[in-house]
Amino acid sequence: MLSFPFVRTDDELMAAYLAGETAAFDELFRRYALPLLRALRRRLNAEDANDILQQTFLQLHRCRFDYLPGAGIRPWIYTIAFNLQRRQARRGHFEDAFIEEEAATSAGASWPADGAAIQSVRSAVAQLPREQRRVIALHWFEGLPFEQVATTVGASLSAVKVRAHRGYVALRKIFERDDADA
Amino acid sequence: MPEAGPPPPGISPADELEKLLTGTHERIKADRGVLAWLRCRPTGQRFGMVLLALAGLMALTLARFQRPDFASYPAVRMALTFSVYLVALALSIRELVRPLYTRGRTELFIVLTGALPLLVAALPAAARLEDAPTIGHGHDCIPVGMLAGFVLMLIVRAFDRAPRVGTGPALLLGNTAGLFANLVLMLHCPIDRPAHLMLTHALLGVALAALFKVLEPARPSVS
Repeated sequence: MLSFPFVRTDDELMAAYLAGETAAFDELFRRYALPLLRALRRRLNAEDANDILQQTFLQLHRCRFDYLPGAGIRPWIYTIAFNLQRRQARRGHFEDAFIEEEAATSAGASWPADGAAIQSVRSAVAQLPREQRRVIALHWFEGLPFEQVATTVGASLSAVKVRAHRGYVALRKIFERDDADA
Repeated sequence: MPEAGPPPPGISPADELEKLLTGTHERIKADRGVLAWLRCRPTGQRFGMVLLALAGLMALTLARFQRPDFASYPAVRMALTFSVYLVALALSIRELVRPLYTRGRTELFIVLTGALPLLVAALPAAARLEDAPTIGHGHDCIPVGMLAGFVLMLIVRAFDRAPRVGTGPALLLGNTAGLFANLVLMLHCPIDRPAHLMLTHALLGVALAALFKVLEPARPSVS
């Protein structure tokens, strides 16, 4: 991921918010609200999605003194939204929808000219078991380091790496099988 | 599941996002008072404050409502059972007040907190040097246990950052309250016959979970 000197990092924004700068919170909201809302709306109705989104950022406000620099805001936000949805018994799990959305968007961004390749990647990833799919999508499509993936999925770092490795092996088999069929 | 669809004509996604941001600010602004302050404390502090409050309640029970055979009850057995309950209670409280940016082990703790009182109740009664004075005791176990459990639910709810509805969270909170009720009753009730423990003490968790389900709103938007 490219970084620009005039764009503040999540850590800097959280530090500024803790120091009382409300605009830093707004910047975090604008940075993460849209993809989260998009994912929520794929499985929830608009009212519930809006409610969970706002509650997620309210929770971010309540958790602000827990924040440790380097922990990463993005896994926090998605985990909070997932937990809120579970706690409040909203129907439909948005997590898979979020991953599918990100997979589609990221694949499209990487290979804009090759629709078949995008479809092939999406189809192959969709065939993986859920746990492997989540780890691969969060690591490759979301760009999260394995430490943050582990936090997000609630597993140990080694377990996450094993899942990713198994996923890669499975993906290779799927592509080889598809090549052989073609 | 209804589809959200595109925003209404004339409202761009950016406008909609700003509207949601304004709504979020309103929620944050409304999040004031003692409860809001408690819920914003770092997780370690919230956990510590809950444990401190519960320790105070147990100390009160021990000082004012102590079981009449406390001095003659086998100390090792009391210490072991009490320690196991205490560890399980601390772990489940930790789960109840865990921050929402972490993944929980709700199911595991439901089983742990539900099974422990049943296991303790199934143990044979302690061998004592003299008979426990049981006449006039044991009739108040259910109200005392329900009261202790209810107070735990209030304390945990005060420190919990988000509302919880649904069967799983209700069972976890109810079972944890039941565990605390069992701890208090261990200090209060001299009857340790398995039948009494099984039918009154151990089932308090289920009753407290049901009470929580009745009292908690179906789907609070925010609290």
